[in-house]
Amino acid sequence: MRLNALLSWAGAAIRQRSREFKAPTRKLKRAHSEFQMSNRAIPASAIHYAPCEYPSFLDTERVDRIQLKPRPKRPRSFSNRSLKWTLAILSIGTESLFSQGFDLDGDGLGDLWSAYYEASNLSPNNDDDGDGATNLEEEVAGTDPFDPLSVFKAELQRVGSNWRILWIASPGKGYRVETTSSLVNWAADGPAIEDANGQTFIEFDGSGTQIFARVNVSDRDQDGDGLTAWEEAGFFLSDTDPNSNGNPGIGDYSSVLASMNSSEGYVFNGKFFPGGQSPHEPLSLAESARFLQQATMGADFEMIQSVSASGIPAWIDAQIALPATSHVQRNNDLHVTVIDEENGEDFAYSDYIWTWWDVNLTAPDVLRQRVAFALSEILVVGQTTDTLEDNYWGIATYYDLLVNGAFGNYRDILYNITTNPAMGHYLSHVKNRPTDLQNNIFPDENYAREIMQLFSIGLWELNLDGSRKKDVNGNDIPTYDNSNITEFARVFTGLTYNPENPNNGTPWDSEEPGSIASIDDYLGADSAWMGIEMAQYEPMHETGPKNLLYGQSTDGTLKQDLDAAIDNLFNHPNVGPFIGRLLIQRLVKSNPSPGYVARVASAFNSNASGARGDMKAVIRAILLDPEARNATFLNDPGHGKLREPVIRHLNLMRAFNFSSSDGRFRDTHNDAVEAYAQRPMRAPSVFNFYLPDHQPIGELKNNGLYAPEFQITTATTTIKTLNYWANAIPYEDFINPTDDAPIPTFTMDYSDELALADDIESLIDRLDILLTRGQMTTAARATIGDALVSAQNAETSPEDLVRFAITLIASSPDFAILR
Amino acid sequence: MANTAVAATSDPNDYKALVCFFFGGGNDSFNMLVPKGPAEYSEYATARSNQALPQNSILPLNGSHNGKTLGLHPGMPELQALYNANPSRLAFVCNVGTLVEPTNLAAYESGAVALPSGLFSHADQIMQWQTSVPNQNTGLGWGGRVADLLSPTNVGSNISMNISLSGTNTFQSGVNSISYEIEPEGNGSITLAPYAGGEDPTLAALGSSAINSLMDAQYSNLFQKAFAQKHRASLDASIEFSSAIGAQSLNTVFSPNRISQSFHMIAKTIAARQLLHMKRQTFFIFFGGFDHHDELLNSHAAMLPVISKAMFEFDSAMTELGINDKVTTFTASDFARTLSSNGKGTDHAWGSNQMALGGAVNGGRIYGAYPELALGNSLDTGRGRLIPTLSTDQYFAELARWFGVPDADLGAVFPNLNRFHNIGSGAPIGFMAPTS
Repeated sequence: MRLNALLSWAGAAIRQRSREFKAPTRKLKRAHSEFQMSNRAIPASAIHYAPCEYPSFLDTERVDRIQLKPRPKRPRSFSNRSLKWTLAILSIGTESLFSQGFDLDGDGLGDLWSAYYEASNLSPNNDDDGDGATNLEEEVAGTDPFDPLSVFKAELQRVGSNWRILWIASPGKGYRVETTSSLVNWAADGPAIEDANGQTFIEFDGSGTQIFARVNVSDRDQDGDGLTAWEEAGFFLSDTDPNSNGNPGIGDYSSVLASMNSSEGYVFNGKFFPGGQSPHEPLSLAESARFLQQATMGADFEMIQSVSASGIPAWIDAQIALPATSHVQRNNDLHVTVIDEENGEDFAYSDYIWTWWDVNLTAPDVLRQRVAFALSEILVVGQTTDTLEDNYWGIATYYDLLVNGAFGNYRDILYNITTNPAMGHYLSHVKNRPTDLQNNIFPDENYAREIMQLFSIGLWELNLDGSRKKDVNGNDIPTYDNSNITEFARVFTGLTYNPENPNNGTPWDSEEPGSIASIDDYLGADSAWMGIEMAQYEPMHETGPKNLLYGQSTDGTLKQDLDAAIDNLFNHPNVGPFIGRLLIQRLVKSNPSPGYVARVASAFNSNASGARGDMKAVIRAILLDPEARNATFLNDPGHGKLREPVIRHLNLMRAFNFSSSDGRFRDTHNDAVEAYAQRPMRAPSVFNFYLPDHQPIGELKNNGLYAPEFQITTATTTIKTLNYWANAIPYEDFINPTDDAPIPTFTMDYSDELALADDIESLIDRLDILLTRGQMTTAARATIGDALVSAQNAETSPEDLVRFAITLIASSPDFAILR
Repeated sequence: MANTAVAATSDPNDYKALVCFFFGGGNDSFNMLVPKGPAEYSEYATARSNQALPQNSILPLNGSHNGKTLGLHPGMPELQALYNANPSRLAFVCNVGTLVEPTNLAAYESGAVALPSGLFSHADQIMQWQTSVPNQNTGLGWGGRVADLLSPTNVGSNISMNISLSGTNTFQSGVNSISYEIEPEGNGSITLAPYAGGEDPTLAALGSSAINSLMDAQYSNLFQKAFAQKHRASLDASIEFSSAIGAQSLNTVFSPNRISQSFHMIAKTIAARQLLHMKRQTFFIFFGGFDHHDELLNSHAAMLPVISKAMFEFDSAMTELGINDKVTTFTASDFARTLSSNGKGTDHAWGSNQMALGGAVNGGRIYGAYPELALGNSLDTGRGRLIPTLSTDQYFAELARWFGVPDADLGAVFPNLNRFHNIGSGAPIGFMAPTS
């Protein structure tokens, strides 16, 4: 080691942390440079370096001239009072965006740090104790924001011919000595100092060229479990093992989350916190709104306030406890009441999509319905065939599998969709027959391929964090080859529609169902096939052993073979990272870090009881992850996602208490979905409306970022969407009345906004929370504000002004992009 | 990439267009270009079992190919007529598919050759049929890479030379090239409508101005930035484009379906080429729904006539515009389908048959080798999934050369081409007329 440094403890680990977010890391460092420069530097004439290592620094000017702006005096204790200069002491490191670890209230300060110091309602940029370090800096350093004596500082001591830099280290924090000869470019000097605790020093040879040195402190999360090392240390957990809490398979983050929300209380850093006292403060309205745009189809002000008060974990628990709203039941309700007044008959014109909109506008189980829609875009069945277009009870039955599965188990989801007749029709494994060598007929491979490629394991062997495993030559490893497809195809043989009349022939003779256009059709025996799983007709199931993956095989009845194949896929280690990433993309962001995928995959692999595939655990992991919650990510230019147009549409309606005269929303929203090129449950193929790996040409692609929803963002859909809203919002015309079904009167309730029409700033503030989750950019706010002032000056009525404001915000990138 | 291809010219007749007609889902093209002669039909019928077309329904094509008589699906009489005409503007290219390097059955089975990644998978093969780089995931299409080279040819144009009737796509995505998406209806593009609310036009003017400002603003978040830029570009292009299209009308009658109407819009766009300052253009139409694991025969009977009529109508329109020798339409699809049946349809396979149409096509001929169809033959990887005997590189490089990409740039556009074709030795296949 060229630097004659003596570390004050033995065996200090030297680790190179992987950086998951390069660009934002640089950005945050820039943000702190001003702070760094305001610190002081040592007179480096006292420190010796070999001349070849650093350019010689001839001028021995006194560096205290460099002080840029006055800061409050810090308490110092110099052991050598003859020194006039102390060190450039502190720079806040940002090794990753996880510098606040646990931040469920999204205030930009770690919840555990806030709890430990009883520091509620602090602003990150204030300096409450006036010690020169902001609250954020105190949080990163692990110091007390109310104690001016508790602040990160270092001292310089002369020890013989050496200079000693001395500081008090907090457990879990990472320290790095940085030096410079120019005071412009600081570079790490010597190893990163980790696992230090208490008094810590490093010594420099005191004879030689002048340099300046400072100490940098940062938070670390070496095991990528979402907890900083400081937080882990407070719970006696390890920062090098994401599962160090003693419960096999349970991530440390989940374990800490559970103890923090348990009724028994918990101990952190030796301090006891009683049960029932969540350490995080109420969410800001903006954070609540941001969460609700991830977790729901849109929220009104009341819901935003309610989640702000209850906190996120409690709200999720309450949502999970709500009964599921059934689409089949809603389908019945909606259609039973639509009776032709003249003929007393059901209307022939109707659509499952009535139900989809109605449920998503009115059902209280908003989280479940949001997850069900996400699943419907992964486990795709579309009303794109004549059969499914006409049989909307069939599609509702399929959707209910997803509604129930949203908080169920993924194994059940896989089994249920496999045996569902709508899926059997859509991916053609209904009436799939066994091999007939004589006639060169082989089982249909369609479902066998897509259940593997799209519904469970994907094409490539994955690590827990979603990255691809590599073979010895560095190549990706396929999860299966075509011989696996043909073997699985043999499993999926013998499923058939339930017969119209069980006494008439075998189930194999059952016919393709006709139209089910009324409640009577649905309830009648003729169409029972759609509402229950497919019949299993053993004579048409291929006999003999069928090879599965991982050397397993099955040779049983149809039911036994199905169970074996589903178990085989469900237990594949790919499922957690593969499905986990897709769900994160649907709910939170397009480009989850490997650590985020790994944490969600871990939750998939094992819930708190060790069970695999628990969707409740997966959804909690997705929504409570630091990458979903921490405000630090808002500054990452690659964070976020484009919200799907139908979800933006629902957001607009739900934000303003859209209501109808009879409480029902029988409508297709055809004009809207035509403009958006996104018709719910009518994706153009099993590959959904867009691919998870779609990359638009330009900066997103150049930065290696995926942006699935941009695949349907075209020169025509963009402007059609603007045009749709420029008409729908001012006229509250979100619906498409049809001639043959009675449509109730729909209205929006803008009364709270109208009350603010005289005060444009307040109006924008409210709409910013409702629509852009408090993230409206400065330029957009100025543009919209100017337009509203001009409109007001032109004596626009309050009603028109409010609608105009909503239209402009709905048109903005701030509304479309969820960060 | 050497920019040798750029040859800006003021010659008003300098124009070429490539139309990519993509059959999404994997068209069963061995039921499109079908054996007709007795021996070859018998081989076909045995392999295809209950998915075989009746021999007497197959529309005969003139001449023979390697001793075989071939025919067309009965739903394609218009294309039969185009093929059998003299001179002919329609050619078939046989058993073409994604390949990383020349591949035979032994090498396929032993793993001795690099294979396309995600072989037999829709998403991967749709992507690779647009990139022609099946061993990498570049996300850049060969049309986009060609546009990177040639778009400077379109001096004075404000609109992308790549026009899509089917939304965003990979084919037209280059390093610096994107597609401009239009639709078959109206004037193709959509212009910003005025804000509809309020009693007077004040809000409409304010709204339009504000929306333009929102899309001009600088956003640090890359998703917001991309979203604003897409709106900016679309708003800018829409007025010029719709105005140019609004001035066009054709006598040729197009069928009312979306595919024919898409070709109609392409024809109008080509008619407006001078207003739009276009000398090179690509077009993209995606016709989905060919994944016929079931209902193959019925579905094909409904869908292949759509193809036949649309291509015929487009050919007529190009003749009407007097520009048929400057416009080439070519087909593409994920893959062909298994020769053997699954009882109701056919499954994913590999090498497929494609078509090229236009005045510059040496038509009336079948290129490549129409493969043996007996199951278990020397190209059969199982169930009649045939190893391609032409690579997409050869097929597309033939088109790119005609379009104006010089041999010096072919290797950059098609990085694997030299494994199949000695670049500089002339046409890779020969179905396009030599360029002057």
